[in-house]
Amino acid sequence: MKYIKFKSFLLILLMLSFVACKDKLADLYQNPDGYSKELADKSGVSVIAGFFTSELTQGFLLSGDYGSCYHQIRSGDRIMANAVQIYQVVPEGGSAFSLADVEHDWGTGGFNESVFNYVNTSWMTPILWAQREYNKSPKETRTTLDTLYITLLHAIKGYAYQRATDMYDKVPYIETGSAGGLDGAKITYLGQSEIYPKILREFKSCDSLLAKINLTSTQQALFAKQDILLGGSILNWRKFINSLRLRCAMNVSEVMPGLTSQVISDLSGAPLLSANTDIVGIADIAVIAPNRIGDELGITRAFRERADDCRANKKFLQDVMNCQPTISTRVVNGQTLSYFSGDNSGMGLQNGTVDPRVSYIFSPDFSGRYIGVDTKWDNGSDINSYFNKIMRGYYINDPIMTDISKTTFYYGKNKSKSIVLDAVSKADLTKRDAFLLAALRNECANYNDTDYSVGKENNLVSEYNIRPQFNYAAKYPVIHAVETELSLAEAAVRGFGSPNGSARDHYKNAIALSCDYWYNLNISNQYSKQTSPALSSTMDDSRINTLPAMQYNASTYAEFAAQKFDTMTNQQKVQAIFNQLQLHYNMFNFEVPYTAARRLIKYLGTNPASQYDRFKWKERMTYPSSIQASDPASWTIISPFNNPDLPLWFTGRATKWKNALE
Amino acid sequence: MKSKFTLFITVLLFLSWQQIYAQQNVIKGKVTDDSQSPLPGVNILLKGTMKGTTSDANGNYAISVPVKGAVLVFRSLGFTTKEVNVNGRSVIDLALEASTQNLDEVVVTALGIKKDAKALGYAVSKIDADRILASGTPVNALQSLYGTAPGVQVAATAAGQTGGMKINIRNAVSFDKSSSTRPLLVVDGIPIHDQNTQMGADATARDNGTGINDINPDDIASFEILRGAKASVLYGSEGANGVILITTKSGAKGKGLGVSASFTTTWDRAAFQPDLQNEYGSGSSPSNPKNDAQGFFINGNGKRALPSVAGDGGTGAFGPKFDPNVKVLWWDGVERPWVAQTKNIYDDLYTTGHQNTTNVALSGGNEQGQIRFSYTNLSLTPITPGASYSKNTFSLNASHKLNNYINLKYTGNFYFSNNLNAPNLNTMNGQAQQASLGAYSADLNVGLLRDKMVTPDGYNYFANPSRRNILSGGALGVVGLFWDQLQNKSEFSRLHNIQSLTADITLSKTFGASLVGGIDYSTDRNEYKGRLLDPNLLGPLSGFRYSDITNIYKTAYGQALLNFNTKLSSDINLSGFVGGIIRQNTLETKGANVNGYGGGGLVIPNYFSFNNLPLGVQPLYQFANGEDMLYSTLGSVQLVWKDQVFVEAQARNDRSSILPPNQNSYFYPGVSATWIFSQGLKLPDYVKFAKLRASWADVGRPGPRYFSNVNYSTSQSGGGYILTPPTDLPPIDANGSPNLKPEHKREFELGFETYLFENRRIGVDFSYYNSNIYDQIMAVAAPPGTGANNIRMNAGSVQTIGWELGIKTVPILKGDFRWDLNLTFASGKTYVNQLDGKLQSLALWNAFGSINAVANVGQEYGQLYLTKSNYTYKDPNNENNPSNGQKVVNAAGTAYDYTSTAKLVGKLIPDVTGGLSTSFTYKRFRLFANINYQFGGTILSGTETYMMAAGVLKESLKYRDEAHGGIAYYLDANSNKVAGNNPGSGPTFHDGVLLSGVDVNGNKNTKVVSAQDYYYNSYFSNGFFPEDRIFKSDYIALRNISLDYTLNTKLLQRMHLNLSRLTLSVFANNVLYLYKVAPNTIPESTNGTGWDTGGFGTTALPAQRSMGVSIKVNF
Repeated sequence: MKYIKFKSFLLILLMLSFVACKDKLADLYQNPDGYSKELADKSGVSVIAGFFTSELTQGFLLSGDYGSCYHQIRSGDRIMANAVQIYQVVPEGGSAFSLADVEHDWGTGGFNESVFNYVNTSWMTPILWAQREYNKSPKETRTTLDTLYITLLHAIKGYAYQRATDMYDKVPYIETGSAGGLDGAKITYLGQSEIYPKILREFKSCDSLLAKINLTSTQQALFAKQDILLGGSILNWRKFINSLRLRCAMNVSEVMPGLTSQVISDLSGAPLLSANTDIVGIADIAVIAPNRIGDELGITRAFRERADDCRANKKFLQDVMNCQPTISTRVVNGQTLSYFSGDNSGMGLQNGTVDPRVSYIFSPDFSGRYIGVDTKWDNGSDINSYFNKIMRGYYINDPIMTDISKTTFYYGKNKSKSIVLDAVSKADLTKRDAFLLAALRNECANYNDTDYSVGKENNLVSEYNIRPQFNYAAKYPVIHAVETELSLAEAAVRGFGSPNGSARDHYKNAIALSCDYWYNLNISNQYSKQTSPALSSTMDDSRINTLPAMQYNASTYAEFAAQKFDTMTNQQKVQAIFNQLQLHYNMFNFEVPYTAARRLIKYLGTNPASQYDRFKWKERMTYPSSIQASDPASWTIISPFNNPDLPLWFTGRATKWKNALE
Repeated sequence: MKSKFTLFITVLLFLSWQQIYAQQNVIKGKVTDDSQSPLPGVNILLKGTMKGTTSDANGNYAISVPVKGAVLVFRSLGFTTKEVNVNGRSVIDLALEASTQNLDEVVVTALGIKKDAKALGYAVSKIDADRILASGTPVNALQSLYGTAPGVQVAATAAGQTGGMKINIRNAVSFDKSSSTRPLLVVDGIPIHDQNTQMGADATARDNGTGINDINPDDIASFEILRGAKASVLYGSEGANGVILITTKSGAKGKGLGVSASFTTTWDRAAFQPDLQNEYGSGSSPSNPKNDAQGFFINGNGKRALPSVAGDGGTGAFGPKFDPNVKVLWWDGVERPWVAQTKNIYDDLYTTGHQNTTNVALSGGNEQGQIRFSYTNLSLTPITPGASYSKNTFSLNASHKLNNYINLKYTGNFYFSNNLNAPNLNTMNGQAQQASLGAYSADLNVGLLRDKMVTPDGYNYFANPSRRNILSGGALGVVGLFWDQLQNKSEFSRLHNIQSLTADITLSKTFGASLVGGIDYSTDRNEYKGRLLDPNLLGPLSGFRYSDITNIYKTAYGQALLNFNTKLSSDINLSGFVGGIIRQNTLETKGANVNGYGGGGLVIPNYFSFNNLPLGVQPLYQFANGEDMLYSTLGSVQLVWKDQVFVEAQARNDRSSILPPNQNSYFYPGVSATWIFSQGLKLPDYVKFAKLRASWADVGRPGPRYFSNVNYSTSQSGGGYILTPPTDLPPIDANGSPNLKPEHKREFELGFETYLFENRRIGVDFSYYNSNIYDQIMAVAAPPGTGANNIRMNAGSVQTIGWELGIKTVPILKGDFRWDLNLTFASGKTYVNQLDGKLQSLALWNAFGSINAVANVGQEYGQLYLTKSNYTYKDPNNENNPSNGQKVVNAAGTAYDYTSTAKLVGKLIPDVTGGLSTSFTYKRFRLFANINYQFGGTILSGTETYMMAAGVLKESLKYRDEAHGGIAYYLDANSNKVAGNNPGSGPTFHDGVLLSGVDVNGNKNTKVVSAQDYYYNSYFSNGFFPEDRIFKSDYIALRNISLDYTLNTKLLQRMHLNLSRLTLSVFANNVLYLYKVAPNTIPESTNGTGWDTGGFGTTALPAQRSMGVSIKVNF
C-alpha cells in the first residue's frame, strides 16, 4: 500500500501523456498518397500546368470514349446512318416496317446524356480549378506559361460548350474568368443564341493573345511536354482555335448570317487547319493510357461491340464515292432477274473516277465488291430490289442453279459458309432462286456471314475497314482540316465569304486531304493480334493484313469530283459538301455531321443525312432526368425544352423534320 | 507512438509484480438449477467487495473468503439472486430458482464498464449466448440479431452467408456515401475495423464481408447494443450510430477443467425463388421471320433448331411452347424432343450447401485466475457451385489475480478464414448482356452445358471463336456461371486477430484504475485467377487474369481510467472516473494485377504469377496508405440516492487527425437520470419493478480519413504531368481551407421499464427518443458547372422521432411447462430539417438510371422518385375529350410511354420493424421460434423486372397464347402486325398484346405487338424502371425455429455417459416468409450493405433456407 500514491501518480502521468500528442495530429491530417497545392508550391510546380494536361485527357473531350461512342454508334447511327444496321432495313432481321425511335430504346440514357454529364463535370473541372488558382495568384507572380495555359483552357472551354449547346441548346455556362462554383458563383443556363457570340469572342481573344505570345526555349520545352494535344505548337493551337471559329460561324449561319460573314471575314489570313496531318485529337486510350488496357475503355471497344453497325452504306459507296455496282440480268423461270455482278472500283480507282477512300475506309465483300446496303426498307417484294441484287449476285451463276445434283451452296472467302437446300429446292431447279435468295437475305440480315464480329472475311456486303478503324494510334477527330475546307466551301457557295479560294478549290482540297488522311490511317496501322494493344483475335488475318493495293491519285479523283461539283446547283453543292463531311468523319465523329444536318435542313429543304425509313428524326438530345432532383430550379427552366422533337435555335426552324414514316 | 505503448505495458507489468497477502478460507461447491442440472456461468460475489468468481461448465466453483463474516451472493441471468452466509462452511452447494426477473442483471456498458441494468438511464439491449446460438451457429454473428432488439435492423444481402450484413440502429442515415451509418463495433473493449461491403461487376469485386464476419458466435458471451446517444456518449466522435459491444466468453472457477463441445451441421438450399414458367423455352415470338409459324427457329439448313445469340432471337424465353412431339436440333448436333429439361432449374444451377461447425472449449480456474480456450472450425460449402468458406478460430481468455489489488485479463481471438469464389454481380447479373436472364429458361440442360464446358486441354469449349455463337444468351449465362465458379478462382483469405489486455487495479477503498490495451489486426489477401478461355483469344477478352491485392487494417487502442467510488452519506453514493483513450487506425494496401493473354499480359497459359510476364513488362501496381489518430479525455460521475435515483453525467473530448488541425477538438457531453419509483412510491402489489429514465447527449460521427483534404491525383502522359482535381469537392471554405467538422447527434430519450407480477410474467421496456443529427456531411450533387460532381459540406440536419417497445411475457408458467413470448416493436420517422439552408432537395443516389433516392426538406428522408414515369393523355384544347386520363402508349405500341416527370413511388426507411420470439419449455424440451418483420419501406429489385423482360417468370405467360389472353394478329406485306386472323394463307399468331390506352395525340392505340416485344420494352430497364415492378419491402419472416432436448445428469449417468449436460437440437433458419409483397424476390437481395447498394439489387442470385442439427455437451 505504501506505493499506492506513487502508482496513482504514475498512472495519471501515463494517461495524460497519451492525450498530449498534439503534433502528430497535424502530420497525419495530410494523405500520404495525395498531392496537394502545398506540396506543389514547396517544390515550385505549377498546378495550372497539371490541370491543363489533365483537361486534355478528359474522356470524350479530345479522345474517343467507350461508353459514349458506343451509344453514338448504336443509337446515333439509327439517326444518321453512318453505317447500316441491316436488321433495320429488312424483315429477316426481326424488324417490321413500323416507326421506331431511339427515345424508347435500350441505351437511351447513355446516348442522350453523355455530353451533358461530361460538360458539367470532367470537361469543366480542371478548367475551373486552374482558373481558381490563376485568380488567386497575384498578377505580378503569374508566369507566361500559366497565362498561356489559361488561354488555351478557355479555348477548350469554348469547344466543350459548342458541343454541348449543339446537343441541348440550354446548358449551364461558366463565364470566362470565373471559377464557377469554386468561387461560389451560381451557374446559369444559357442557350445557343447567347453562347455562340460569347465563345466566338473568346476564340478570337485567345487567337489574338496567342499571336503575341513568345516563349523562351525553356518555356517552350516545358509547354511541349504538357501539351499532349498539339505538341507545344502555338501555331497549331491557333489553327485549331480559328477552325473552331469557322465551325461556329457556319453553325449559326441560319440565324446570324451577319455574324457568320463577320467571322469569316476576320479569318482571312488567319492560320487554319489545312494539311491532312492537321488533325486535332488524342489517340485511343489504349495507347495514351496503357495501364488501362485491361479495362479496354477506348473507342475501339465501341467499334468491336457494335459489329452489327459496321455494314457499309450504299450512300457513301455509290452516291458519294461513285463506286457503282455492275448490273447484270439473267432470266430464270421466265423472269428477268437483275443482280450485281461486280463494281467499277477496279478501273475507277485507277482512272480517278472512283473515290480512293473506297478502298481505304471500306473493305469489300468476300467476293471483292464494294457494295453497301441501302437504308430504305426492303421487304423483298421487289424481286430486283437493291438488296436482292446484292444477294443474287452470289448464287445466280453458281452451278447449283443448273445442276440438280448440287444441293449445298457455298459462300465465303474459302467457301467456308454453306447453305443446304430444302427438300423442295433439291428436287426442283426452278425453286432454287427463291430459296437461295431468301436464305442469303436471312444470312446477311442475321449476320451469320460475320458471326456478329468485326473483321471477318466472309462478309456478304462491304464493311468498314478494320485497318483504319482499329488503328489505335488514330487520333479522335475533334476537328480536321477537311472540315475546315468544307466549311470554307459552304461559306463560299452560300455567300458568307470566300477567303483563301473558291468553293470549288476548298471542296476539291477537302476530298484530296481526306483521301490522304484515310490512306495514312490505313497503312500506318502497325497493330496485330500480338501487339499491345492487340487487334481482336476474332478478326480474320486476311482482313487485318489487306493493305490498299496502292495509294491512288487523290488529286485526280478530287478534280473529277470538282468537275461534278461545278455542274451542281448551290443546294446540290451544299448537299455534296455535307456528304463529304459525313463520309470523312463517318463513325468516328457523330456530332459534327449531326449538327450540320440539322442546320442545313432549312437551307436544303430536306435532310441531307441518309435516313432509315423507320427511325424518327431527332432534333436534340434530352437532359438527364436526375436533374429534377439535383437541381429542381434549373429543371423548371429546361424541362419545357426537354423534347427530342423540338428543333434547336440554330436550325432556324420551329418545325420538326419528319422522315418517311413520321 | 511505439514508445508510449511500451511505457504503457511496462507500467502495467510493474504494477503487476506487487504482491499482497491476506488470511483466507476457500469455499467450494456446485450450483444447479431446480432440476439439479449444473449451472455454468453463475456469478458468485463476496458481498461488499469486488471479489468474485463464476461457476464452471459443471456448475462448480471455488472462492476464497475471509474467515469471518463472509456472505456469498449467487447471481445468474434468469434465476433469483441468492445471498448465503458462509458461517464457517467450506462446501456450499446451492440450487437457484428460476426467475424471469433479472432486475439485478449486470450489463456491459460503454468502455466495457459493467453496471446494474436497473441503474441505466438509457436503453441497452443485451443478447446472450443462448439466444445467439438458439438455432445453430450462424456464419455471421449478426445473423442472430434479427428481431432481437427494438430499433436494431439487420439484413443479409444477395452475397449470401459469407458476405457483409447490413446493420442499422434507430434509422441512422447520412447524406453522403462516405459517412457510414454502421454502429461502432467493439470486441472485448477494442473497437474493430468495420466497413460496408458490396459486390461489384469486376471479377475481383467480391463481397467477402468485413471484420464482424470473423467473430465466432460460439465464443460470444453477449451482445450489448447501445442504441441511444447517452449510452454511447463515452465513444464521443464515433458514438452517433450506436455501439455494439461484443463480449467473448471467459473461464470460470471450479473443480478441474471444464470441457464443452458442440457440433452443428446444416444443409442449405436455394430458397424464395422467383416463380418461373416452364411452358415456353428459349427463342422469340412466332411472328419473328426467323421462326416458323409455331415459333421454332429455323436454321440455315431449314431445320428447327435452338436459337443462338441475339441474331437468332435466343436471348429470352419467348420461344415455342414445349411439345414432346417436336424435335429440335441442339447446339451439339443432336435432335431432341422440345420439352422442359428440368422441373426447377435452380436445382441444376445451385447445389445443396453444407455447413459443419465444431467447437471445443476448455475452461477452468481457481482463486488466482480463470482461463478459457476455445477452438472452432467452421466449414461451409455455399449453394453457389464452386464456392467454399472455412474459418478456424482460436480464442483464449485468461484472467489472473496477481493479488487482492490487481487483476489481469487477456483476451485473444485469432481468426483464419478462407473464402473461395464468393459471388460478384456478374455471378448471376440480372442485366448481364450475355445472360439476359435467359439462363433461367426451362429448356436449358445445365448438366450438358457443364459437362461440355471444359475441353480436354482445359479451355472453354464454348469460347472458341468457331463456337462462340452456337449457344443462346441464356445458355452462355449458364456457362459463364460455371466457368467462373468452377474454373476461375477468387481466393480471399483473412488473418484477423483481436487482442486485449486489461488490468483492474484497486488503489484504495475509494480509488481504482483500469488499463486496457489492445489491437485489432487483419490482413486480407484477395487473389483472383482467371483462366484462359481459349488460346485464340487475346487480351482482356481471353479471360486470363491475375490479381493479388493485400489490405492490412490495424487498430491499436489504449484506454486508462482512474475510478472512484465513495459513499457521501448512508443514502448517497458517488462514483465515476476520469481517463484517456488513444486510438490509431492504419491501412496498407499493396498488390498488383495483370489482365490478358499475350502482348502485355500473361504469357504461359494458366500460370498465375507475376513472373509470367513478357520481358520488361510490369503489372499494374496498387498501393494505398492511411493512418489516423484519435486522442480522447473523458470523465463520468454518477450520484446514487438510496439505490433508487441514479444521476449520471459523462463527457468526452476528442482530438482527431481526420479533422483539420485548426478544428480537430470536439466535446461530447451527456447526462441521464433514473428513478426506480417502485421503490419510492406505493404501487399495487403486482408492480414488482417500475422505473423512469431520461437522458440527453451529444455524440459525433466522424468523416472518413482524408475526407476534407484537397488532393490531386497524379499521372502522366508523354513527358507531362497531370494533376486531376477531386471529382467531389471536400468540405472547404471560400479560401479553399478545409473546414470539415464531425457530424453531431443530439438525442433526448425517455424510457419506462416495468415488471409485473411474480416471476416477471410481464415486462415492458419502452423508449421514446428524439434525435437530431446536425452538421451532417452532405454530398450535394453539384449544380452543373460547379467544377465538381458533388460538393461536400457540413450542413444537413435530420430529425428522428421514434419509439421502441420491448415486451417480455411468460403467458404460461405451470409445473414443468413454460411459455415465453417476447415482442419487439420500433417505429421512427426520420425527417429532413435542413440541407444546406438553400437547397430544398438532395439526390442521395440513383439506381437503374431512373430512380432517385431523395432527401426533401420537410419530408421523410429517402423518398424514392421515378424520374421517368408513365403518364396520361390530356387534351390541351378539350377537357371533355374522352381520351383524357388514358395512359399514353409509345409510338411502337410496345410499352406505356414515359416522360421525365418525377413521381413518388416509395421510401427507403420502413415505418415499423420488430420481432417476435417465443419458446415453449416442457421439462427438457424447448421449442423456439423467431419471427421478424418490417413494414413501410420499398425494395428496388432488378430481378423483378429483368426476369420479366426475359420471359422466364410465370407472370410473363400472360399474352403468350390465346389461353393466356394473347390476341390474334398476322403480318402484312411489310411485316407489320395487324390485329385479327390472317385473311390470306399466311399464319395467324396468338401472342399479341394490344395495350389499352391512346397514342400521344389521344387516338386509341391500335398497334398490336408480340408478347416478347411488350415484355422486353416494358421491363428491360435501362433508363427507366417499370412502375408496376416497384414493391413494398414489407415482410414477416419466420427466421428461426428449433427444438432442443437436454438430457439431465441422472439420465446421462444411467447411460454411462460421463457428461454433465447434453443437448440435442434440430433447427431451421430462414424458414419462410409468412408475408411479403415482392413476388419474385426478397428484401435481403441487395447488392451490398452500404448507403446505396443496400437499397437496391440487380442480381438474380438466390437466397437460401437452412436446416440442421446440433449436439452440445459439457464434461
